[in-house]
Amino acid sequence: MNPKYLLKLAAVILFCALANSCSSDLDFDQLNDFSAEPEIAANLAYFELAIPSSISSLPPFTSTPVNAKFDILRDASVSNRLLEATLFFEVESINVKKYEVIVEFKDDADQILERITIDQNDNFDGVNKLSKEVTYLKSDLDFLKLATSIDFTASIAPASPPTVVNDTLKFRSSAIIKLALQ
Amino acid sequence: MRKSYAIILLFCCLSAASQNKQLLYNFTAIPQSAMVNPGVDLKHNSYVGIPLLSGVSANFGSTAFSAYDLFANDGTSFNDKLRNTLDRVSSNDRVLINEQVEILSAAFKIGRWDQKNYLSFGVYQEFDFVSFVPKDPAILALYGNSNYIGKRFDLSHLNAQAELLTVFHLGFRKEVSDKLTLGARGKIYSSIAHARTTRNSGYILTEEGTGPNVYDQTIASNVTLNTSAAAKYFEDDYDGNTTNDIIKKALFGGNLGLGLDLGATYYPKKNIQVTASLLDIGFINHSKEVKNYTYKGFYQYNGINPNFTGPSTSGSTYDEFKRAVVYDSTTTKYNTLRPIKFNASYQYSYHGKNDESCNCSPDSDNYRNAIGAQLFFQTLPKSPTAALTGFYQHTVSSGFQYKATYTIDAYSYTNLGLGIAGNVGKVHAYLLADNLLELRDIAKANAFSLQFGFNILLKERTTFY
Repeated sequence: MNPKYLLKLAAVILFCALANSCSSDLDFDQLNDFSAEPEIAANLAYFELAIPSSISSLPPFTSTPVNAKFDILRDASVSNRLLEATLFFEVESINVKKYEVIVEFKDDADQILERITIDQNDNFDGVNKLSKEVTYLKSDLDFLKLATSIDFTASIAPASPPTVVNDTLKFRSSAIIKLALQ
Repeated sequence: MRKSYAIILLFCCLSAASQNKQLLYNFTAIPQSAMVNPGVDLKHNSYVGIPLLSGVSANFGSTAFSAYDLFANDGTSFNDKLRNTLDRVSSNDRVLINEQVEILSAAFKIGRWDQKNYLSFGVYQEFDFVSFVPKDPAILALYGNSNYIGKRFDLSHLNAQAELLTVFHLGFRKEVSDKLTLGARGKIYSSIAHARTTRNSGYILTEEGTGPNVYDQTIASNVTLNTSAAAKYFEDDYDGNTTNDIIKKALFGGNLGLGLDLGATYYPKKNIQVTASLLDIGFINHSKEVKNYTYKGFYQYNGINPNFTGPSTSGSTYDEFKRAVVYDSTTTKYNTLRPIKFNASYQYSYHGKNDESCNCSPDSDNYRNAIGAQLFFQTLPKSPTAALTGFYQHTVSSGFQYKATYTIDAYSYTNLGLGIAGNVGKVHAYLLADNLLELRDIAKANAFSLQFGFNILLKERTTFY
């Protein structure tokens, strides 16, 4: 084959490839449509409370409320993007069947913003655990953004016959928060 | 506005560029092939490049996705496309971009008329970007951890580097004998802006609780972002002149470094040629306008633990975390190594202008056709990349040559390339493009490179007078 013909052929192929190159329709503005709603699961609180032997009989026992700082949502980059929150609570006790744990979210002025009670009315696993799940949406989430502390109170209801002693209330809770990223 | 300008500039560079120049390598009709092998046996040894147009190259490669996968205007939501893409990529997938523009380039014969010694020099601007897919951090950001209990989100997936720099070079090439040509090039790098986050480790792990908590949650972080002369352009209060700033840094005002290119061409037989080159053996010392950001520490998050038996207080979880995983910024200088490139080729030439009885010099000029193979390696922050190329080269006349290539690499198994070079009078031009099959729809291309340039060829003195 004539070398000059080959050169022309190579040139034609190259230029045709470049000239006839096309591109599917792209829309880079779609970047502005980016959104994500990650669901972050994290511990909220836990404690183990020994039931004093002195409450082996009436009258009822109520622990002194314990105040704990609540600031895991303090960062505005989290709190401003809060879309949904599901709080999960679980209380385990071997012997004490009648009790309640009260969780109170409070603001700086010590005002109660939200009170959650875990008691016999909640889900019972049929053995020794009570659990409760509460979901908050939209404006109901405000208390989580405003709360700066949580009070925890454990109460043992009066028992007759007397409750068996030497027990421990095991409390644990977690939160799944959904964030809006754009 | 200035921030926008900096971002636009960055994207101009991004849209313009892997550094395998398989078409240019050992394409001896193109003077710029000396840039990928300082010891190349060139056809045109003395030349002056037309400023800014003598060597323009843009090279882009992505091992896992194309622009179409993310930005197709096909009615599918961007978020769905992003998630689908993330589902099928791995943390070893990467995006590589390289762009080079020769600002000045020239080579001259030096020494005695009967010696083949050449001096070359020039300046070029280069942009390099490489990023591995940060798969685990991206999953965490898009989906969170609640559906990934037990998954260890690996922070070493954060692995990226970008640099804009100017390179000043001075090279010397010598035809040691009819069989051997050697070359070396010294380089001074002037880094205009640099950012890297390549030496990260750590993880974020949420497991079902084995203790008193619902979850066992651990954050172990050893994440560092090094920047030099880059952070300020993105600060809200930056009020400098970006253009002047970049020009100043381009002209030895940036962070400086030194480098070396080495190359050789050897003819074991008249029609057999072996070449090799090692490029960018060098470093840059980043000491000016350095800002390093670190997130380092270990934290086990237990949540709030009210104390019923002791003082009625509980510490700040937020502060506890910040004390454990410390965010810090420093101005400590650092060094970076340039990505080293290794090229090698084996070429068999045939259908010579002269037959076997010819007592002519054993260079490829005597042959019209050549076939061969090339090998390419490049160091990357995580693992090196490699490419294997088969090529056919044809010399039409002393002025015109073309080269066709087929390359296998991490980006494509169907990479066909074609390049032509020729001169009309003293004006020399070349055009090289690969991944021609993917050019049918460039939006769907995983890799693409284009190189072109114009030079003025100079006459060499080959006689005593």
